[in-house]
Amino acid sequence: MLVKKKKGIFQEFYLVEILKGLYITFKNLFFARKVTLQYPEERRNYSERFRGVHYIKATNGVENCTACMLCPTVCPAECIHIEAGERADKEKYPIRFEIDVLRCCFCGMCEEACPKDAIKLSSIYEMSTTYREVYDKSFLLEQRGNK
Amino acid sequence: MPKCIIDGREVEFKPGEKIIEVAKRVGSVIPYFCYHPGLTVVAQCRMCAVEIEKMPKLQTACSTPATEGMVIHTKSPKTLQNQKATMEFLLINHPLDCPICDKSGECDLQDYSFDHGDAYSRYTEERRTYLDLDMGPVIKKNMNRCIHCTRCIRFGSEIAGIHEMVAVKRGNYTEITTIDGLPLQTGYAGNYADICPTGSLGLKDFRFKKRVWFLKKTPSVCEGCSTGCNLEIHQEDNVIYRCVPRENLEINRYWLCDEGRFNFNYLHDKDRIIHPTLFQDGAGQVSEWKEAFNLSKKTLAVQKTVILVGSDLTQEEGRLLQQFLPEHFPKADVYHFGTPGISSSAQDDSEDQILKRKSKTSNLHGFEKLGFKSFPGFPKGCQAVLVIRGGRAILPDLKGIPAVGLGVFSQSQASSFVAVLPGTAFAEKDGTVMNYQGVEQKLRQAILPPGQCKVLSEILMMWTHQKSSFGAA
Amino acid sequence: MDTFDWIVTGAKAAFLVVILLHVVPIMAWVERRGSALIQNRLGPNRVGPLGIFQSLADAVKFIFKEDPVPGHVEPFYYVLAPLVSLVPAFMTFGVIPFASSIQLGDRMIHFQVADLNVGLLYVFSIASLGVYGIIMAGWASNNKYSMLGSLRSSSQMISYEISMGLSVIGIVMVFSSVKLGDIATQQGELLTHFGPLLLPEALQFPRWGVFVQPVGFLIFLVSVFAETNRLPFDLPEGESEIIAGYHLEYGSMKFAMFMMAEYLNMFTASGLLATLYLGGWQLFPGMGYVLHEVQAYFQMSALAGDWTRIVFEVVSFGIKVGFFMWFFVWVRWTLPRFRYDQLMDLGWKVMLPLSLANILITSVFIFFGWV
Repeated sequence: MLVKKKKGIFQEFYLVEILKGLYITFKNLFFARKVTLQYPEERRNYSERFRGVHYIKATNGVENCTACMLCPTVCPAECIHIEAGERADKEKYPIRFEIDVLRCCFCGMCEEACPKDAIKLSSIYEMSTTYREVYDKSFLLEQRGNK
Repeated sequence: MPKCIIDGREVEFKPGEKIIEVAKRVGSVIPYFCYHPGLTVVAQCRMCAVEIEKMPKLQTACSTPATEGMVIHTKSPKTLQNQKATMEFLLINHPLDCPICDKSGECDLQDYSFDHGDAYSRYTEERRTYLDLDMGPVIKKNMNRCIHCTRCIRFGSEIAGIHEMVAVKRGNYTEITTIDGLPLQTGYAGNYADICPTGSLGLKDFRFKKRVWFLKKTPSVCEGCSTGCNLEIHQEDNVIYRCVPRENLEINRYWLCDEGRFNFNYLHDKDRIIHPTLFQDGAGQVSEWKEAFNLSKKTLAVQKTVILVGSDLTQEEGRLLQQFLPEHFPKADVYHFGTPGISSSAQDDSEDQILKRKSKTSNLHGFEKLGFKSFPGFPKGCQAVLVIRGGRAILPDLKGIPAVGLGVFSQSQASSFVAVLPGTAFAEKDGTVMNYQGVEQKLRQAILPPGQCKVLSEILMMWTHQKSSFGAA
Repeated sequence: MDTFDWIVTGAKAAFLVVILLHVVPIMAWVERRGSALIQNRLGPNRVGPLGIFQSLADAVKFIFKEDPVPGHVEPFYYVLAPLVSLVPAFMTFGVIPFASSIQLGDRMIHFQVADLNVGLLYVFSIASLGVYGIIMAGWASNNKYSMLGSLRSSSQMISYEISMGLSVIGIVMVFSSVKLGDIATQQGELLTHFGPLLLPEALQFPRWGVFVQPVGFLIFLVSVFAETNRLPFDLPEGESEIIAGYHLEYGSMKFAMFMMAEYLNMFTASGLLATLYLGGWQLFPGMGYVLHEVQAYFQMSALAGDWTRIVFEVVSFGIKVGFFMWFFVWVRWTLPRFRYDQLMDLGWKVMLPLSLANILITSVFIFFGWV
């Protein structure tokens, strides 16, 4: 239903309202605190729980991951690809562990699902590249931004 | 019919029926580990114990026959308390390696632990561990996970006919192993992995390939022999990872032989021809459908042609060929072929008294019903052969006669051919096959055909509508 | 015309073109910084001091960017359209005086490229040519959004040109001239009447257009916003509705030409507003006194004094134009866009009757000799 609001003569006569608006923008122009962050010099402090670039945690140089596939199962973006294999010192380990970061939505469900505390999201958020990046296992095993 | 009362509901049963089956039928599911409907009852896991009025102690539902007027409580506090205690005992030594275990996702122990067990273990002592010996090419054993249900031992002696699994030592140290640690002999070893309620017996073929919850299941029928065992094809992303038996009490009961279980592997063989291929001196050359058709038609346009139809095709395909072949090859002789030495249903017999039969194609009986004649050998002066088959019929010796293949062939099988038009195998098409009992069963399409493979009807359609231009091409 | 006239006219034209070419990047920077500050941001501040060279960087980008012609457009008109809208934008400012005149020997030099005797009409006729560029662009782009944008633009131009033209008639009636030089000169006189009231000498103030034609000024101001396609009347390029309107299919320098045309139109409109309603090059009250002091202090010759006066006039005119330029930006980041029917309502139902009434009242005032 269309409700016709009653307006005063000044509201009906827009010029006064326009002047009020101009006054507001003028105030903002000089007197408002600017919120821009000068990025490379200034940086925002993110929370400890910030979810950035992934990494695979390792214990004594051996990756924690056992290729149980819970992270690809829970991943809503279906961006994790794991191939399992067997080797002498580890019954089951990921031969390939790839994360398509272009599809990743950084929800952190993989971190939450992981029973071995293997896949984690670090606090690193600078990850722009000039190519379509797929993080492979060797990249993920570097303990960058470990927390 | 006599009646008993389960959880306050009056239930009819056949005399002699066990409580666990009666309860399952009415939806009062009783958990169990050692019980299996296809095996004898030993009642040693104690998980299915239920409270029966007028009996002082809990009774195992799998071994107690229901009687008239029996009052059974499957959800009483006493029963639940027993289930919880049993679960805790079973989990004392069970390792927490579900992330590694291939059984997780379809594991009885995992499910019941979730339903009846406790989230925490009170056990702080060192867990019992074993060293595992190799058990042959099919089964990988992990004794740490075993809960001593002895299903495998009973399966070996009762179904597979070889008593090769035994329990050695006693009590806490009981170990399930093969006699003298020999590899498994039976041709039904895959079932060990199916019936094991934990992950202690697993398929080597499936090991670490895929987590079971990713698999999409299609009910189908085995094409390995004329028994026609019911199976379920498990696939993801058009790749079959395994086949498991499907219960059918009239044909295969709960079992499946290894030959049928691992038969699917040829579908994903790298050697399989999945594009129209022309052969020259044994070397295949991928080509276009048009060229392959032209060459095939040219090869088959001779006076004396024999057409061999594999009896691994479905009834529908056989019927289609019966219409197609007389029209396009009026002078050709049409025969079915499948297993060398087994040319008619009279020769088809059980191979091992369990499931396997001598005819290694699924539809021999169906093709006889359709009226195909069996292959007597090449007549004198035969100038060309057209071989139509699924992936299972065994090729006879072609004696150097120029041949065109239509269906599933591998590079090595087809090296002496002129051309191959790639077709589909059992998991890539729908159809009907008839087993030795005359039971007609449905094959279901589980995956899409790879490459340029097409179903037979589509190939025949293209064959018909393709402008023949041999000589000019 | 002799050689001297040629040289003087050439010099004036060159000066004007240089100014016009500089207006665009500076305004682009002002617009971006201004909008940022109004929205509590900082805006481009990296290239040069305060980011002033950002526009330079943009210009470099515009020039060196790949300049493709999409496959589905009509190539001839597609390429022609930005030129057609840019050239009139350059042409109109020629008749606007930016200072009074100076006596050099026996010659009078007017600070105005061409003091046409149809000045105002020339401005309107040339300025309305710009819309052809927009229509061409919309049609040649072969794109529904572009077409819609250009159609909106043309109907908007027609609607507001009427009220704009009628609102200026008041000024023409009061100053009895369409020569912009005359109009600017006459505004230096003092206003002796406030309506029927005779003002005492102390309260007399300059006879600027805005004081004699306040309603006309408002109508003209609003119409000018519509004519230059600036917010709140930027419907031809409304991003949220028709993406970018008529210049949707344009890129690199061709797009930059449309942008230049928009800013030049703004500049011309500001110059026109200043000339018609704020006294043009007339000095601000008080500036005349300062000028005399300066001339006296440095004991200037007549010629040097004249040149100082010219500088003061140019500065005065520049301040007025600059204020309007800033006002364009200021309004853009204050008001939201109109709906199209509201735009048409305003144009036909408010502006047109108001401007007609303005003419009537003005003629009554003139009849009684009050202005």
